[in-house]
Amino acid sequence: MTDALLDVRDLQVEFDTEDGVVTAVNGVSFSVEPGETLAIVGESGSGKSVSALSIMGLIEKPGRIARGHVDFDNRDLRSIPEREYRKLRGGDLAMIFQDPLSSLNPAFRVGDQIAEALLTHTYESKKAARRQAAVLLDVVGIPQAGDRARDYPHQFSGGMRQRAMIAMAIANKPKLLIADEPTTALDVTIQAQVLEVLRKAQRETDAAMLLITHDLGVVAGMADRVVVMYAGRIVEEGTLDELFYAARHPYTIGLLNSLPRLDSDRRKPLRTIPGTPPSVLNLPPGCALAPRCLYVQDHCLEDRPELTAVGPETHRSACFRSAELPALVGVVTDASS
Amino acid sequence: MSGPLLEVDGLVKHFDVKAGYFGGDGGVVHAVDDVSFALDRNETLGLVGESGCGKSTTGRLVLRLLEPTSGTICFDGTEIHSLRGRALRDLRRRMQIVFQDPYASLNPRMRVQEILAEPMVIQGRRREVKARVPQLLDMVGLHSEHATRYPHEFSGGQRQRIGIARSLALDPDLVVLDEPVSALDVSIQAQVLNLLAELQERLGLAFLFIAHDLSVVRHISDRIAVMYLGKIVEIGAAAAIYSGAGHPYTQALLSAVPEPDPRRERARRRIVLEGDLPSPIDPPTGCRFRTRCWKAQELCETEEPALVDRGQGHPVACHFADVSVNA
Amino acid sequence: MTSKHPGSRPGDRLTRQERTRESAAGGMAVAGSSGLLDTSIESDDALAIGEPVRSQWRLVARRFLRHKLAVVSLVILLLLGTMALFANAISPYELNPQLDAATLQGARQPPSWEHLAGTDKLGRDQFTRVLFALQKSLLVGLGVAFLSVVIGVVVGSLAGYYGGWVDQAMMRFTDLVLVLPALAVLLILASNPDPTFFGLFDLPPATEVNGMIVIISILGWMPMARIVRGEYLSLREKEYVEAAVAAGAPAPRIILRHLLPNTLGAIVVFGTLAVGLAIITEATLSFLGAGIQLPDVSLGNLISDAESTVGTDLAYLIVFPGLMLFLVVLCVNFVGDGLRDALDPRAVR
Repeated sequence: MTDALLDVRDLQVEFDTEDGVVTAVNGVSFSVEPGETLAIVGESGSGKSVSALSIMGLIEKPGRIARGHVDFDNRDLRSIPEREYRKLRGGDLAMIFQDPLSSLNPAFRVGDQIAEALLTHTYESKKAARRQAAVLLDVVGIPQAGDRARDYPHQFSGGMRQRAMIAMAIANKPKLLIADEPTTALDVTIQAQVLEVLRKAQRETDAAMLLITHDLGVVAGMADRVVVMYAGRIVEEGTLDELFYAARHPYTIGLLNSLPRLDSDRRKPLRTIPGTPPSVLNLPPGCALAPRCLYVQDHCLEDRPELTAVGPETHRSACFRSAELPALVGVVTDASS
Repeated sequence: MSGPLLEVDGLVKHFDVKAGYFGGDGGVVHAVDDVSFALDRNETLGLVGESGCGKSTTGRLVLRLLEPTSGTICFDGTEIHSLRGRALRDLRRRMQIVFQDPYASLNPRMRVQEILAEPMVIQGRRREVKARVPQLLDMVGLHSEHATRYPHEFSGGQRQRIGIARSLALDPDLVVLDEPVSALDVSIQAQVLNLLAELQERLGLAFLFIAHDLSVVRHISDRIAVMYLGKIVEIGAAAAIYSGAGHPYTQALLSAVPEPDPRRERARRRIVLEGDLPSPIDPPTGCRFRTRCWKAQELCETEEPALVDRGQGHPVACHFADVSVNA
Repeated sequence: MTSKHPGSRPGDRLTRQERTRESAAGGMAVAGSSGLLDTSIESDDALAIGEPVRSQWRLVARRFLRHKLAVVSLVILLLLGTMALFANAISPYELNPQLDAATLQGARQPPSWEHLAGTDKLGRDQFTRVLFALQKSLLVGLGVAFLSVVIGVVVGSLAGYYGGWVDQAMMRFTDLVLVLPALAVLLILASNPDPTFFGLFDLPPATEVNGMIVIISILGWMPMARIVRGEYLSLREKEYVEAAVAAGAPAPRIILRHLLPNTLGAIVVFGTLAVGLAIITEATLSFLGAGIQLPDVSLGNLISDAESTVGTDLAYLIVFPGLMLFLVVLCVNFVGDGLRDALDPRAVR
């Protein structure tokens, strides 16, 4: 029994493929407290989306959860029957997907789809549900919500569809909102709008949020705590400030350094992480980052580092040299690509 | 030949939209409306804007992958619109393109060496192929062993490098880069950006760098042009734009880019634009940005602001542009 | 694992499906069903010398071999095809032997070890007859598939590449031919003993295999044209085609080097299924009395010849040709299905 709203322990998700078994998520543990926002950051192939889908119970063949615990609200999600799971989805446990185009059914009016979410969980009367749907659309900032509720998804722009999805997700006052790359497909000014809406939605419902993204800028504006994933494992975790200002893993440091920013020196080439992420089919033994790591030592290639505390209990990093990194980073000149 | 390498004047591209069967009016998509700019040799012009602003269309018009509705495009002093046959082929040799999508920009049925050789074969320079292909691969950081492989055997970042190599095959003067890193993972973006900067310096290339991400474009651009709904709203030196943008849309764009720095993010004065992008079929009268602009007044509706210097040191198309302190 | 896959609509840099593929490109599939794993070699070190190049066709072959039904069907077809091809050598009997007393004595015999499919009313070995009939069917099937594909590809290529009025003209013509009632038209064409190509040159009559091929192809190319046109219309938008244009490639090069090779999948599938369709069509025409006439055998006329035997103890005379027809077409369709799955565009990049 924990206080945490969501408790994931030792999650392992595997996929059967033509070329063998792929371990997309490899022993991942994290938790989310009520009301807080946890960001899971990683690039493609890191396993962040698969982790999110596992929580929602949406992993299907050829994928499966091979091991681990997923506890939500003190219930073991891996052992509940499917119909109980369905009650949770869209109710206490809501998800927002990346693609606003395919997440809404083009054949039904937007308002009706939100109303359906309400009717499935908390509402009885169709009329009341429809009224509430319009209210929700207003909450997410859709102008003339009452009229727009009767539109079809194709009449909504990308940003509006995403807001409609948020409205659907918060309709039943979820305890946990999982947002999987909610703004990646949107233009930057629309992204700013939608993130505002997301913040507001979270405030109004007191929901906790699990934010999956590759965009560190979005993380900086939304998250309380951050988990960084690479090749199916967590390489670093900590509070927002700990991660951005005191990063203790070469991957995190490399990522932060390689971002083109509005405030960095234009004339210098960007500092990059050389090489490419490994194929999850042939992961090297030892640390997954070792082939690309600027601070690699011999034993990194053989032994895999575990997550250990670096400073405050909340801040953990999976690197043998995490203690030395602050000094090293200043000294070692990294090669540009 | 002196003078700018590329000169675009009054470029217009309208697409016809047919009327639907069940009502729904036909109309004209004002994709590019009166766009003018110049690009010098070995310079990078960043063409920035969100979807629907016309930046990609502009890139294709410059390369004559699309024909303009009106306006002129001059490459090295020669107007390109009337070129045909051999002259057109010679022109194509001097300007090339790198695409956004690493998965669709390479023919899956062709080996890398065939892909790289194709521009040379088309231009009748078959003899150069043997020596040039390994050279090109090396330039973009790949190995000559990669030449016999198929695109699907490479990662996205590597494919993008192949696309870049292909664009360099004919030793062009100008390369149009259409969102070349948008589809790549963050850690790979930096590699490719560095590569592009390096190649530019080594080969003396001019870049027309089309992007929606202001932070990406910043590193490689000498000048920036900001587009909105088919028009350039602001154009000037990169440093000037980033430190003192005059046009409200530019300011909003800059403000909207999330910064990977929590303290600055929290402290930021964020401009969040109202509403959505208007339809390019029926753009607003006067200033096209007025429907989302916090400064909009009656004048904005009746009179379209000209793209002129209003005290910022570079042209801005706004009646009420901020006069920058750094002008 | 290093790229996101941009979407095709403005403002949408990634659609869910494409992002699923992109995660797949990272070596993982998201939520199973819609993803595919990219097994590409990721790190530069892995692209070492000596690694076998995995061409697209090898991947396709591997996927095909996993469809047991398709593989079995292919084997059966190859077997039947070989038998039919060497019908002369295989069968100890003649197709049309002298009808002397000895032969007539052995008439109406049910299947035995000597006559695997029995003998017909005149003492001829039914199995031999079925084999020769199968030979014709297969020839017609393959011939029609080939000719339909050629015509369809030409029409579709012009329409798909040039668009505009060329497209309109081609497609309206295609529609016109599609609208014709196939069987009626085929019967009319087949009954013409001296057909000519619009008076320009002579064509073989429908009573011969070549004639059959021509006639059935006339009404068989339309779906191919549409498919090819459709593929070209979407392929034209692909950036690698734009790149070729930007390098100055002329139309023939674009069609032959970029568009056609990437349409091969659809063409192969159509061609395979066309074989089955053609075999049935030929059998139908011969059954109805048009087309191949006795004493030339066709599965169709063998069936019609034995029509009256249903319910009698000579029923074996109709069962064998019928079964053979059924078996061949079934196998062809299974192979076609297997190919379609193996060439699934989601799987092939």
